[in-house]
Amino acid sequence: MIPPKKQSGAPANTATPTATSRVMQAGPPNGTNTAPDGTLNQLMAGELNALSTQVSDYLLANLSSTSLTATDKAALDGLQSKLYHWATALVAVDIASTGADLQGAQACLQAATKELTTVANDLTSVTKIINIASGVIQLAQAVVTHNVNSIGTSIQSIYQAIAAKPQAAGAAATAGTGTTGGATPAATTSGNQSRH
Amino acid sequence: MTNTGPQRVVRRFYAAALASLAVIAFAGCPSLATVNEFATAGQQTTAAFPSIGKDFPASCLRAESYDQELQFDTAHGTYKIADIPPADLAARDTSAACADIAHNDSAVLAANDVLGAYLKALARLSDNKLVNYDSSLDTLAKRIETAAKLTDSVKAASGLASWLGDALTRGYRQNKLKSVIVQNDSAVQLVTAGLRRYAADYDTLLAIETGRLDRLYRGALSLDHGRNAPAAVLLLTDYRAKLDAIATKREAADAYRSALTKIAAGHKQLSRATKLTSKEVESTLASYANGLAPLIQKMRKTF
Repeated sequence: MIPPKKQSGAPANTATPTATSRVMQAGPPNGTNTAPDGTLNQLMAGELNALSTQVSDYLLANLSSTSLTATDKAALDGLQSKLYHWATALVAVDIASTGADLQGAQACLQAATKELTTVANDLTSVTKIINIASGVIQLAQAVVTHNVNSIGTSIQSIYQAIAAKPQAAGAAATAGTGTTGGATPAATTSGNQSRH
Repeated sequence: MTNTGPQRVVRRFYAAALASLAVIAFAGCPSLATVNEFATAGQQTTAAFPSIGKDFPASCLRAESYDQELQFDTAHGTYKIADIPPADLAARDTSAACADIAHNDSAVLAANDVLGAYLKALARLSDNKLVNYDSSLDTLAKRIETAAKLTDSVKAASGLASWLGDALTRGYRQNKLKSVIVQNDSAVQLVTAGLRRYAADYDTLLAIETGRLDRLYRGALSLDHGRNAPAAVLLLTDYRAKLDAIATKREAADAYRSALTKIAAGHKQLSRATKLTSKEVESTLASYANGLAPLIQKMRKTF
């Protein structure tokens, strides 16, 4: 019924170490480094776009699910939208570093990063969702600090979180699995926002 | 009158000398048809690019509007189609990232145009014509100068523009062709690399647009729950047509990138060649020029 998707990126509900390793190979996002198949900004934008679609797919598949609150569903929709804005901002930075005004584009990217962490912080009800949010916040931090290894692992952790089976937040805490990277969205956001 | 022995020798000498002069004269005016063909095809590639360039910010704005047309309704825990009048939607299309993309388009398009002007000059020189004055060059140089920060590619384009200005003043001719190519090769390599990267950004923008389109149409289809089959079919037809249009554009952008690779490789080959008219150079250049033709056609057909 639905036409096949033509964009590159991760297939639904699977982790993508190959895509992530491409990002890790590309080097720091300073606008000048080039990898054989694109700059880091381009690769990151592609990954974020794929992530945005993954979150969107997940929401569509769980629209009628009662395990997610309406607030979480709205926050997930907000998250996929911010991921897409972030991807666009990265393309703008890349174009600016080919063309002219890098400063304006970087300010735009920082604003998108800030919005993204705020939205991720609103996801609270199910461990899976918390893990996605936590991964996104780590990713935002990694991009701001230009930590390439962390960018790769954060993207991987988000894909893994999306692919994981849903679990009640309380049950996960009891089992000791916790959130990705051991940080709650609220805890990481405050540190990240101080950078802007 | 009969020729004596010494007269025959003298006549033979003159005949041989005339033949040698003819050979020298012919060699002094070599055929640079393949160089001309290659440079002309390269120039046609750059001429087809501005229409692609205009779609950069347009793609960003389309993605933005697709994103806004479908909203999440927290009260009902589902999607809803946004009730936004088209005029309001247009007014909202002022996303900072899209504005930034539009802002930076100008310098990159100018770099593409400078590359085109340079290839046009090469084509004229290889055709043994004077490089003539082109008033658009002044505007091009100004467009590049207005860029706040000159990156390597734009700087290289600026260097090419300066060379073109010099060539116009000095009235360059064909005998300068080889030195012109050697002198400008590094600039051509930098400009083409920058433009290739720019075209890759366009591909990413189109991928993002596809992602937004997916969300809009799949979200809209989820609202129907299969109750209104004819409406769903219409929606799917529209969805597929839009996806196809994006796929065609991505192919055209890919054609532009491939064409730039061929231009860079062909120019490099010319700069390294000891003789521009050697069989090897002619054959390689002809293959580049032939390879450019279908790519140019694809770009023109799409935009």
